[in-house]
Amino acid sequence: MTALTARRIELRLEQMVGAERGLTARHALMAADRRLDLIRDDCRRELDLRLERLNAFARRDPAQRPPDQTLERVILEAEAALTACGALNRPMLGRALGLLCAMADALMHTRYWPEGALNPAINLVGLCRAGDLPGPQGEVMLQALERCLAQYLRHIER
Amino acid sequence: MVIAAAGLDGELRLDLKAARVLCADESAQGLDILGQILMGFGVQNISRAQSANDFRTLAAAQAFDLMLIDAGLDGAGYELVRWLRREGRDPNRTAPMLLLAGHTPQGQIETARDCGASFVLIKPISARVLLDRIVWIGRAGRLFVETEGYVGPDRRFRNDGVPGGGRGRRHDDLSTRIGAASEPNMSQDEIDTLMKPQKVSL
Repeated sequence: MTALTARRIELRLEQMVGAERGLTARHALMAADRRLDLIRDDCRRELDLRLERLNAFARRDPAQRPPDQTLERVILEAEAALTACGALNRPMLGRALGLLCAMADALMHTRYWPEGALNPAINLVGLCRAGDLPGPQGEVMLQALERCLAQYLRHIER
Repeated sequence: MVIAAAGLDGELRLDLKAARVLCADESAQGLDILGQILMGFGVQNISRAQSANDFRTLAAAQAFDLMLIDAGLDGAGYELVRWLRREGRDPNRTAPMLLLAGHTPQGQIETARDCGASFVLIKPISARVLLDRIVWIGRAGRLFVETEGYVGPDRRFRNDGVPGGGRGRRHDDLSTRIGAASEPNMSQDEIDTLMKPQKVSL
């Protein structure tokens, strides 16, 4: 039989949230947004640097499956871009980068490699960054990428 | 900028001036983003760790009210949370810990689920989501659970009963539907009488 203990821990955070004084949530969010303004240019530069590296990957021979280390590098670049997105309020770009990470990770676990397997995701990331994609079309393309991801994941299970 | 969030009342007040927050991320930029957001929230005491070693050192040296940990920190963010939950010292062992993840690798899904984090937040992190989670932690009063296989906040958010209509595995799971009440509610006196210890002779 497994022993289980469950106890109530009093957190200092409980007194700080719902305090009588202090900032309203609305003002806290506005203040955070203003502070993020200070670093947005740096974040854009970092994002573009990472996207350029992803684009360089996309220019490789699309028919040849890259080694796992290269796929791992793709994930690291996309994750760094995701971090930079935290200051930029670009949810669609964030979703595209997240899907790119998940697709590269799935492909690391299988020998399956359809030609240019990651290029649609990288291209969509570029379109989202450029702001050239209206929301509804972006949504359609993100859903298409989700279907690609589901297909890659099925190959892991085989 | 969208202010209203699900469950986040824009007029709710928070006073985080005295909060001690530890942010851990290999990326200086990631730390800058978290720092700016937290300072916007009024936090004045923010510690930064850029490696797992820094994190362990800081977590051993002072108490924190909240920890934000990048899942990719030295490739071991999940393990760090697990370590602190099991081997750390109070109060940090039971402190709220938010893991920030770009994506969760296939091989780490179970680790992420079982490490004991209060929440796993998916990047890109937004100020709104971060505040929403902080407020949630401050209000939820989740129990802290310790078992052989898991140490961390209670992961059960809502009790929807036994899945699939089967028999429950817990001693207090109900094996059948109760249905609507068939008699009037008991009065408080009747309930008190039921609960009151009474001397019995056998």
